[in-house]
Amino acid sequence: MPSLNVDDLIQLDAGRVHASIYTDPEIFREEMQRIFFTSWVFIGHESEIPQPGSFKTTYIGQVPLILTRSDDGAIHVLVNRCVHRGATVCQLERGTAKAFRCEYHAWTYNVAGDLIGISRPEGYSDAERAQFPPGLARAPRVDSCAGMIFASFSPSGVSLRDYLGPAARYLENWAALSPTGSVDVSGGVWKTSYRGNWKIQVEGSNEGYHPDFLHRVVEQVNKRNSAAAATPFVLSQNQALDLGHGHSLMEHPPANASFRHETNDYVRQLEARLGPERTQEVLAKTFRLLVFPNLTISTEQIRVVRPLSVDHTEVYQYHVRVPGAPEAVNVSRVRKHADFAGPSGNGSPDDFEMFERIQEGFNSMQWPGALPWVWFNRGMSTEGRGEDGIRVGPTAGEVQQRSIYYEWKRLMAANTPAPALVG
Amino acid sequence: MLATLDTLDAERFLSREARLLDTADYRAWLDLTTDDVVYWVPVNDAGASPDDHLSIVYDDRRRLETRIWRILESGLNHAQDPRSSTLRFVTNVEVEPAEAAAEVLVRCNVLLYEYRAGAQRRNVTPNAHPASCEYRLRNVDGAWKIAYKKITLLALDGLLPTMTYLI
Repeated sequence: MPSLNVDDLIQLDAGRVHASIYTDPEIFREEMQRIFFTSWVFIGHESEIPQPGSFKTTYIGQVPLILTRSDDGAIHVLVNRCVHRGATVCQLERGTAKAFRCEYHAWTYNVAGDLIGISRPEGYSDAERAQFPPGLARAPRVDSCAGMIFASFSPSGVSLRDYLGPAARYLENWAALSPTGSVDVSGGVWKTSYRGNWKIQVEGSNEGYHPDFLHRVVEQVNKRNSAAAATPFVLSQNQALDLGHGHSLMEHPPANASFRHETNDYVRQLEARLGPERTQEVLAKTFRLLVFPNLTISTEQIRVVRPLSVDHTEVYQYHVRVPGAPEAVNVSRVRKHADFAGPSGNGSPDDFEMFERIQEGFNSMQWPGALPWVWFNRGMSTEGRGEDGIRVGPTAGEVQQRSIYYEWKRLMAANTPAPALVG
Repeated sequence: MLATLDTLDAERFLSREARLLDTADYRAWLDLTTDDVVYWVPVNDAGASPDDHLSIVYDDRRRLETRIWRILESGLNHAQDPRSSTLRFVTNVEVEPAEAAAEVLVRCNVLLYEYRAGAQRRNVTPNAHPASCEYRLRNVDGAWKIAYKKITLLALDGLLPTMTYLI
């Protein structure tokens, strides 16, 4: 694509997008600036940095970041790059620290990112020292909702609360599955990558059309184990909601209640905190929630997508514990998670196989006469409007995928260049 | 009775087990396990409890049977279409007494290669999965069976590709 014309690429009136958005390196570079370094992006969970000095290293795209909590309890998202010559200052995936020191020339930063020490400073004149920024580059905006920490590298723009919109309520319901009101994500993570564009996973994270087919083995396993039969996704009366800003929600079919983890003690614990009505809402309405651009939440899992290049994507699938719940509840959750996801599960590996097949199919774009369109038109003509005018359709339709491209188009069409990092 | 198994016998047992796995003769492999077998492949942290922390595999006999059915017979193991070939090398075998009289502890290192032949996509390099293994073998009516097998992948906390075959 010599120039980016989003109206040509994203034709939602026709329910289709141009396959070059999955293959064009120039579009990928623009996505990183206009989406990942502008919009709100999921960084981590508060349970990963529980106390002052706690840190976790992570990335947006290829940019190495440190998520920290300082003595005053504030949360920081810092660029892991010494302001002097550029070496990373923190080497571990997680831990606690009093300070970060670049081991090359021993420049030191506190956990809030301030430059607090330059070795042998007498070698610099005052004017020379004044040239340095005050500390590590940082995301100018960091905020959290239901323990989930998000960062935006844009100094201005909508607040996280406004960005999440109705998705915030679902995040809160999900966190409320824990009797303490806060989930824990330190119970394991499958880290993997696939050879394919990042949007293929984002589309697939909240997709209700494929499970009856690609994941039919789940139903067959249930049959073998004489578990209750699940209502096929395509026959269910459940809905998918476009929550705005690219976020979407997919209600789970009721029969997936056979996967639920309730025990009477657990229900009583939740009722003590939430009352019976809210407990019912939290337990009965299980869902998949996609928070654009890089987060998907299900009952036992958060999935974080990291674009590496136009055709290479990393995915972390974190297990979610509910601290304080009866042991049987957490054992049930960890088994269910590993049964479906994980490298040897009966679900996620098949998804990753499809993602790689899709990218392989998109390699056909090298020949200009190849089929250029990807279709997300399923259920468009019967799409309805729910509360607050949000788009609603059947779970096995493609409301969820279209919602991604309304937001993608909005961000990619923006005239303003992506803002620079603020030191 | 007091169970004894010398290193050479243990190596023979492990070589046979590796051959059954590499030839996908999973039913014959299952016959090498006890009814109360535990088959565990941890992820991230080999010291974490499988009841509290995610695992790649944490199977009892029933779950193993389901897994084998899924891999071999369901026709729905899409991530293995076409199926991978595997090849594993077993070394560093050590045998120690176990707490139970009829059991021995066996440790070994395994280098598992996995390669998908016959696919349109041209994966040129096999995936390599070095691992250390811990077994409890139990003598059941004169035959050694696997009561416990824990496979600790060297890269258990790194990026792991899909592994929908018996590791």
